[in-house]
Amino acid sequence: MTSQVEPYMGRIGRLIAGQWRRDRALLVWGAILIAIVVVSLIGPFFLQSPTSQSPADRLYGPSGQNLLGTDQFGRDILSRVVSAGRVSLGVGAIITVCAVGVGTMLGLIAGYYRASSVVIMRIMDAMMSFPAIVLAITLVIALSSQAGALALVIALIIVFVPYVARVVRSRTLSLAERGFVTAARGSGVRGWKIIVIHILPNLLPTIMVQATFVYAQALLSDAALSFLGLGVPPPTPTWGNMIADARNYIESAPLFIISPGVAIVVAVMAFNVVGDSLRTLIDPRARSVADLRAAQRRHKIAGHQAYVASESR
Amino acid sequence: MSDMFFRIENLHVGLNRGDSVLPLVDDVSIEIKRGETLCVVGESGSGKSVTFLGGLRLLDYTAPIVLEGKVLLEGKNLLELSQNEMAQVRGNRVAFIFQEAMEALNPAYTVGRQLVESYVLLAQRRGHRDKKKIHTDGAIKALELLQEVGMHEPEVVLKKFPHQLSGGMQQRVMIAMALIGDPELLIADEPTTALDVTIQAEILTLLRRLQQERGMACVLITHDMGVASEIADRIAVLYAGQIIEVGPIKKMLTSPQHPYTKALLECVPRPNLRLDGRLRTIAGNVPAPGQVPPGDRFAPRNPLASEKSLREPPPIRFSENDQHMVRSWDPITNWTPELVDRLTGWDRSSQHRRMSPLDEVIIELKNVNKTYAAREGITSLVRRFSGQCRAQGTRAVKDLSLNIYRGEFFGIVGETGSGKSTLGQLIMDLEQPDPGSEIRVADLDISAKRNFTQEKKLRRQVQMVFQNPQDSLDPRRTVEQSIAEPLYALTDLSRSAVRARMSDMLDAVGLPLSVAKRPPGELSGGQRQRVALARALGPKPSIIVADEPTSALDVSVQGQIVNLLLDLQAEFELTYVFITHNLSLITAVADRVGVMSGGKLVEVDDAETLVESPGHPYTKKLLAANPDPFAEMGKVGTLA
Repeated sequence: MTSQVEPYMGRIGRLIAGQWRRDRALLVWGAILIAIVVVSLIGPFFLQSPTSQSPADRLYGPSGQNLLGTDQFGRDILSRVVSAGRVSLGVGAIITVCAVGVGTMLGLIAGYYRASSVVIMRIMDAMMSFPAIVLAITLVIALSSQAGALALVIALIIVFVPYVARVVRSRTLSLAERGFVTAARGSGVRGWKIIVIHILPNLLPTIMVQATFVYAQALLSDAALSFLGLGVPPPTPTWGNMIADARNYIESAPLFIISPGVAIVVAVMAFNVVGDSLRTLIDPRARSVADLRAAQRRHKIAGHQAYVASESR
Repeated sequence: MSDMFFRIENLHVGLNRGDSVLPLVDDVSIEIKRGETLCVVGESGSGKSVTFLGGLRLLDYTAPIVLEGKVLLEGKNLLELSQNEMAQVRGNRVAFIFQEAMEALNPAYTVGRQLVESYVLLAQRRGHRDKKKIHTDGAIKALELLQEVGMHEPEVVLKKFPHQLSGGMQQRVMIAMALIGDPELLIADEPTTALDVTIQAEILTLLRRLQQERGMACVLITHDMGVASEIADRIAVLYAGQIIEVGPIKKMLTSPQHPYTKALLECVPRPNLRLDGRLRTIAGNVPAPGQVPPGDRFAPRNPLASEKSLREPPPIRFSENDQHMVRSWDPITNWTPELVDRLTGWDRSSQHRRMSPLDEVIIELKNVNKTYAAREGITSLVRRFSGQCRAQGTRAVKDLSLNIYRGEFFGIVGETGSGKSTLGQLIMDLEQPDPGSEIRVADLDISAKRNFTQEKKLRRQVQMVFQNPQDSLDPRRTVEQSIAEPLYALTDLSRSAVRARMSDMLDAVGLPLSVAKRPPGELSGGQRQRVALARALGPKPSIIVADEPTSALDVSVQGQIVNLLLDLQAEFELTYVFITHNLSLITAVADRVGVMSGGKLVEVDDAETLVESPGHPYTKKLLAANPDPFAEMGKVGTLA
């Protein structure tokens, strides 16, 4: 048992150590990201109910009872921020998964069946020509008379599909030119099978990276729309509608607005940095540059190093 | 020794891997005189580029390398300079040319602008301040240089963008750019590898002329002994990070003492020598860095190696006049044909294993045309759907008619853009021919519209091997999955039958079963090409179209693959369509050869007849351009 686990653990350890040398940002922000997700997931089980009001205790500062104080209805801000995280991250996840799924499919079709890109990509371009937030607001309002969570989710999926489709299409274009795709055609494999077997797996790293950016964008847009009252309706907390509530009490209870604000900043930052580091990690050229930087940090200049003589086997 | 203006002394180059250093170049010492051309030859992975690019501090930018030893330019140790000081040396005194000129030139600027810019940079570094004057000087210099590198209309070329020039022209521009600072040492890293033979000959002649006119020293890094034989004054052979033999060209070509040098020479197929049997090869691969054998590094691949050379590092022996160096326990001074045969695994008895072509036409091409549409836009789509298809475009194949017989090894030879690859794709049904073309392959009419069952039937008969196995194998699929793909798609074999067929095929191409579960990235280039071959053989086709299957490989490995093709032909009764730009290779092995130029088949003949009495001037030109280390020496050198 241990003999099986040990080399495995050793490998993971080495991987982490190597990554630490190369680029700590991914590890640090990755850990923060995981922490945010874990706290949002299990936090609400340990905290007070985010919706139980006690008007007598409204707008209190931090205390042993309410670590971050209370809001204008006397609800605990900490538990509201945590469960808002659950809602915001959840909404973001749904948006990301759907947008990436649909975008990947459209991108694959447009990239592999060139003729179709004339239609698909022009539609994508048309959607991208609107500022994201304007398009999102328009869609939310058009989709539902009373702004609800579903309208917001659908609107943001539509907004983010082109961002994925563009990237996937350009990658597919170059992958479709690769020898192994021609070889597969020569082997008697046809259209969609080539896409699924040969193109999609080679796209996965690209898609993963793009997904982290979409997630970060989705969080921001969700917060912005909630702030405008177009998102998940109260009393369910989201980071956006908490900030909207808090803006009237910015002087009397600063923690009320700071807490969800910090949460948004940290979460979006974490997604962006992790996405950026992942991009470096999967791009061999960027990776070797990162290696080089790391090596240069450790030794001032190459060229005056003691040389380890070649070991013969 | 005072005329040695560039000298590498005990250079070690290693790759820093955090906790250890991986040795790439091990104790290399070499000197270059003013005005001489040194060719550095070795298989890929032997450390030739790393020695010179590392020694001139270019790798500092791309990898965490560790340098030790001395690289002396007129007594100044370049390894001790800062990158700023190095920038003064590079361009001014030492200049570089690389393999891919297209990669090295900026696609966004005109040739003229790039040339002037590099002149301006150099002039500013040299302390010139008058901006206007520098720019006019630069323009004049650019014109002069383009003329010097043999451009007929330098004014026109100045205004062009790199992509508007052909590969040969781009390489000339690169050379002009390298010369802009009037360097004393020019380092050319595989400058002609990506070029056609005729262009290669022109570029080599140009390099030789420039080097002699300017009295420049020149280091040419190449894997091809043929190229070295055309241009070198001295040749250095590198293997596994060590120089194993250096000497003047004549000695190196006629009486090399290290078996590796001899083997490299013998592996080059010769245009005027038809081998009725197999090609000469070197068994095995260059050892990976950090895994070099303890004794003579070449010994494990050398059938002539002694016990001692397997165990102990060999001494370095100099000739009496210090002109020649060899690193070997027992340098061979007298090469008998038997020794050469043993060294290159050439067995006289294996000569007659070839099959002779039958009298049955298996591929029939009649008036085949292929036009590529100029651009795929909305208008061309509309036009296509509305039936006005025959638009303008490039005609890649023009009125081609040809019969290929069952069991034949048919070679198609031509330069880039001759339409040879398109022809292969047409036979493979990967491209649609223009209406009116007739293509019959294995009794199936493939110019007509067919259904999926018919397509499957055809694909079972015709399979393809591509140029670059790194590209033609999906990096995310294991060897096993790649080989199984056509079996599942084309045959009705059960899962266990597919597995059995797969291991048969691995066996047939000489790979151990253990590679089945590995991704292609873990295999060497030659092994990958074997996998590609196993994939093509899987459905038991009767025709294999091989599109430049060896041009991405070393000469030694090229021989291995071609020999394998010959063995498999007899075993599986195959017909080959072998597409290549390498005339000497194809005339050495093929039954008949078709020469293509500009989309037309200009000559088809028996390989022997083609070499002895080429009918078409283009064939003559190709034959003349082919480098041959055994031809009368210094073809290029005598031009001066």
